[in-house]
Amino acid sequence: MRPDSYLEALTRMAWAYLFLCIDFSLNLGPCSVNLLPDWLGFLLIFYSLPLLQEQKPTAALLKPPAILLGVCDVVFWILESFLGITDFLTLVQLICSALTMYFNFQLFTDLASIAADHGLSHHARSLRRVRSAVTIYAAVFSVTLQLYPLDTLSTMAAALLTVGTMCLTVWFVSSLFLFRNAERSRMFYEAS
Amino acid sequence: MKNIWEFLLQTMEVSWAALFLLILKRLLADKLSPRWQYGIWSLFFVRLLVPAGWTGRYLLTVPAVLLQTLQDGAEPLLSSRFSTAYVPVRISLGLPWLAGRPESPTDWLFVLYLAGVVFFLVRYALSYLFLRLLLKNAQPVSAGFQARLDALCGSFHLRGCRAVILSKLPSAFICGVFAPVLALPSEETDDKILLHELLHLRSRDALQSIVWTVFCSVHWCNPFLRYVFRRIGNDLESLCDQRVLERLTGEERRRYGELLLTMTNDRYPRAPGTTSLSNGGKNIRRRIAAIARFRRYPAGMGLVSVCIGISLLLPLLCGVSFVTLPGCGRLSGISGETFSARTSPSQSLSVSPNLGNTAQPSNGVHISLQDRRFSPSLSAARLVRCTTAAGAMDTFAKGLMLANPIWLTAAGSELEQAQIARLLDTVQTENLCFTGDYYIYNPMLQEDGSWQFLFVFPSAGQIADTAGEALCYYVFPASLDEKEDGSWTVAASGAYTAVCAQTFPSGAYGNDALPVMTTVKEGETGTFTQFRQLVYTVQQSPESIPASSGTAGPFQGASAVWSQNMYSSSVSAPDTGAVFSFAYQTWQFLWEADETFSPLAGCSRAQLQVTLTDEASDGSDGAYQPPPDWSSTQSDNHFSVSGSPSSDAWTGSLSTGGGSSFDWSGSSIPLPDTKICRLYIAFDGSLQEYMVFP
Repeated sequence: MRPDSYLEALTRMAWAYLFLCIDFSLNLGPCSVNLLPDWLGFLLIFYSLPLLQEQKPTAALLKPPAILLGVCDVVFWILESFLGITDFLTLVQLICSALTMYFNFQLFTDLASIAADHGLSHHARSLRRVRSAVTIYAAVFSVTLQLYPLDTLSTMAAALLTVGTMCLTVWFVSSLFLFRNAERSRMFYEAS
Repeated sequence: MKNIWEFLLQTMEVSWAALFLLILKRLLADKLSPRWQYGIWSLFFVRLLVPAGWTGRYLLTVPAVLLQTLQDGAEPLLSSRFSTAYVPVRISLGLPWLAGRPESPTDWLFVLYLAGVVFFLVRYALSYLFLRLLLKNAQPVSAGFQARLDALCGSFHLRGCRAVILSKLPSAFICGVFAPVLALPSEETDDKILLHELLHLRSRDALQSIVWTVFCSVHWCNPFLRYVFRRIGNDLESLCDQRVLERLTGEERRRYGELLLTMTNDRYPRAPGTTSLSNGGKNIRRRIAAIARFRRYPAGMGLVSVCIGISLLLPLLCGVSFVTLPGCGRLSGISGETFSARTSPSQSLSVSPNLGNTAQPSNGVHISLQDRRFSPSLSAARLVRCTTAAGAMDTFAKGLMLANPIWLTAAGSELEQAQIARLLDTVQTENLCFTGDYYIYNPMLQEDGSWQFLFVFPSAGQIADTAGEALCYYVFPASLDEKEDGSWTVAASGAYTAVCAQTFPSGAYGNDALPVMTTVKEGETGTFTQFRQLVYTVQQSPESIPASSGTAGPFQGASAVWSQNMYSSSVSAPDTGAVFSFAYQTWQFLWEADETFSPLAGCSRAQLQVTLTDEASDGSDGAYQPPPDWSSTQSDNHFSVSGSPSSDAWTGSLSTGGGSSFDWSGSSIPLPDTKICRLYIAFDGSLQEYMVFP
């Protein structure tokens, strides 16, 4: 399960964020099964962290949140997929959303720092920008939904939020894959 | 907070917020700096001021409902001045105040609590004053020391203050906000200790200490919150440590940690308006661990620290969960019971509630007057808020049809328990049979801002008469109020009447037999009458309650037995935030001829025309407008009818009308645009009279 190399760890992280950002649910009557559960993403990231830690020691701080978020998501996934329960303990969800915000921010900060250390300043800047944009958007989004629940939003507002979320998701995930590709090229040139 | 229940609710909700923050801080202890660890308490500070449940939401609903249950159980037996039985616990201000003379044990409990608050405030104030007196008479520092202090302030760009020496002082501290004094022990004090105290002075930590002390006094009887306030004080010291370390370099940072190590066994002064380097051995060890992590806190976490605070602000202040209406949803109410209505297909529809003292054999579960004192479901119902007018109507209507006192309580005013009992008794004794549908008729806005309207319930039974099958309707007059917090309540405002009407048109599009709003005007040619109906349908929630299955739980409302003629074996669950799904208005205009009007005698054809124009676009303010072409066809805004006064079939009157839907959006009751109705009477093509409504 553990990746063999730093590059493989980066690849797994990039794919992990596909699980985290995209939900693909199968509707089975009263229950809805998410075929791309978040806990799989956290599992992939957890096994990749030791190799990331070799590049950036502060990555070690991400292990406990990764475990906690993964476990919580397993519980939520089981409740939702097999028992049809969608109203979970809201306070637990709130803690998870705060932890997720920190987790994403810290991980991308560490990746940006690694990119800068490896001379990939362009990717370092890009990772920092997407990290900041996603964090700010997540805070604004949560405040908006608390003030105006989804079912009270106008069609235009809901469409804007959806488009914004999709754009950020694409930017978020693509920046990881681009960084991975840049690292691969760098390592290839260094090897040659 | 003006009674013991409000205080308990406030201290509970504040405790949940503190617990939440402690858990989050523990998870992020080694990840976010002491600056965030203390700064996040600003959310807690605002939470202390904001009244619990002010938005209708709570951090945890179960304790709020249990508290309400306790109040409902205790207060009916007491004649409290500060609190009223069966009234939801609602707080207007997060600070306590005395609202009169105590009369009951719970009133005296609150007075005892207030006495404790005053005691602790006075104690803290006296200890501060004593300390100030001590410092006033203390020996000032030497000139050399003062120069050293001034140089330190200069090098770190800090504000200085008066410094004094107190013998037998264990450690240095700053005292005071507006005239701060630095108190020093008689032994030599390291520059780093002075720096620590000067940074406290710069950040006005003494003022923050006073504020936290005040809140600690307000919640003096909550041991958990006393622990929380101690933790806040420790976090404040850790933050000051961080500020010191940011200004020191290399070896000096290590020496600072060593200095703290020497203070692990020291006592430390604790008084409001003071800050002290030493805050106890255990806390010193925690601070040393934080100092060791100083360089290892990830850099650049400022943005996420702020964003986490922003995303937590509203949930902690406003609460996260509404109390759900008992009997709805899988995890509703206290015990997660689900409401079910038993069926007996062979029986005609009947409902069987019983709110009297004696229980009678029936299909329902009884909540006697004694039981409802300790009914979590009824208490939960009191905390439920109907957020829209349609939601209150839907909850009330379903409660009436299914004879559920819990739903009626949720929709009604808190003081209407006797009325609810009478309503349910009416439904039972008169064996009313409902189909599960209902309509809202003819809402009228009153001068006091409330609404009067009619509930129209189709009956499950039909009778055959000579004109064809007729449907029976039950018409219940009711009133709707919007409360100060924006929630809505419904109350019955009179006895019901049974009305029989032709099955077509259905009640959703108005019906001549059902109540109308009538306006009458006398004219020269006869009497003009305008009949108007406004009909509203509420959107039903997708969640349905089965008409069969389920067993009675201890707090379940009374059940209903459905008619086998009903094509649906379930009814939608009440939705406290429902909206209207359809609104329709009908007009009927009647002209009754005055037989003494002479031109009528020689008339072969009498014609009535009605035109409707929107008041906003009319422009003429109801002034006369010439009639349209008498041969023009009818439309939504133009009706006409004619008759022959000289024929045998002449009834002496002409009647015409129509209807249309209108915009039903909005949280209140939407009304259609006001129409100006112009009526024209013509005899043989010659206009005789013109009348306008309104």
